[in-house]
Amino acid sequence: MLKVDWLKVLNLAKKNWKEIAIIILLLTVIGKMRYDYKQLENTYEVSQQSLQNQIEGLQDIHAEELQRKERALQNYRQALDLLEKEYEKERDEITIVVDERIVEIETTIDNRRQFTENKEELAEQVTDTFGFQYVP
Amino acid sequence: MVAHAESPQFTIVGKNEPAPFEGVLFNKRGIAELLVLPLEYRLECDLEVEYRIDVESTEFQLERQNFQIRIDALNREYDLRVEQKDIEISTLQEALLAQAPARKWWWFVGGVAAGVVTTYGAYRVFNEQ
Repeated sequence: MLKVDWLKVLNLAKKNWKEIAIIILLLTVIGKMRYDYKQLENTYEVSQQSLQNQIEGLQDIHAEELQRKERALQNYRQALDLLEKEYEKERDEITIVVDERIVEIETTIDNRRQFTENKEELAEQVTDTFGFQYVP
Repeated sequence: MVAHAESPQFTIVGKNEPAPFEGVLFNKRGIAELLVLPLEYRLECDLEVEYRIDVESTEFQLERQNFQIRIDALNREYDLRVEQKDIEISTLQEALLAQAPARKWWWFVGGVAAGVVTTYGAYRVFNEQ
């Protein structure tokens, strides 16, 4: 069993109090520096984590934005295709209407004998349509 | 001159040829097509206007949707940044509070004591030398 002679220790401490004080102060300063460094490290980690979360969040937001824009573009293309089809369909309908009207006029000319007996009827139509003067 | 019913035809007649004046003579199909022209142009114009308006409206709709998507994304980005900054601030505040305000007097007293001791020690050391 190791016996400590406290008197000798006290004498030693008294004799070397400056060295002991310097060592204690040095240890205190080192401890404080380590503590501050740890705090600084924690701060850095918090900032880093925050930035990491922001990057991940921004990537998600960006991906979703692109997805939504792509969907909107697809809808736009579909709508344009539909419009194009409707346009072509209506053009065909106009052609039909015009052809029917031409046949109707021809039939009227024949039935009403507008080239022989009822010239005025046809003349009136031409005058109404184009504003030309009829000279019998 | 024989006019065919199927295809539109015309000819040019001179004065007394037999016509009261020189001009253009159309057959039945020709005059029928001429008479229908205003109707045809009106229908085509209406259709064209409607089509163009629809196309422009669709493009505008797409543009509006894109702006809406951008606004939504920017709002989400803003919320994310604010949220992360709040978390960061609160974490830093916690770290700061753990150290400073509760023990500031201890730090103050310790600092004064350490200063006194250091000054006295230095005084003793340099005084002895």
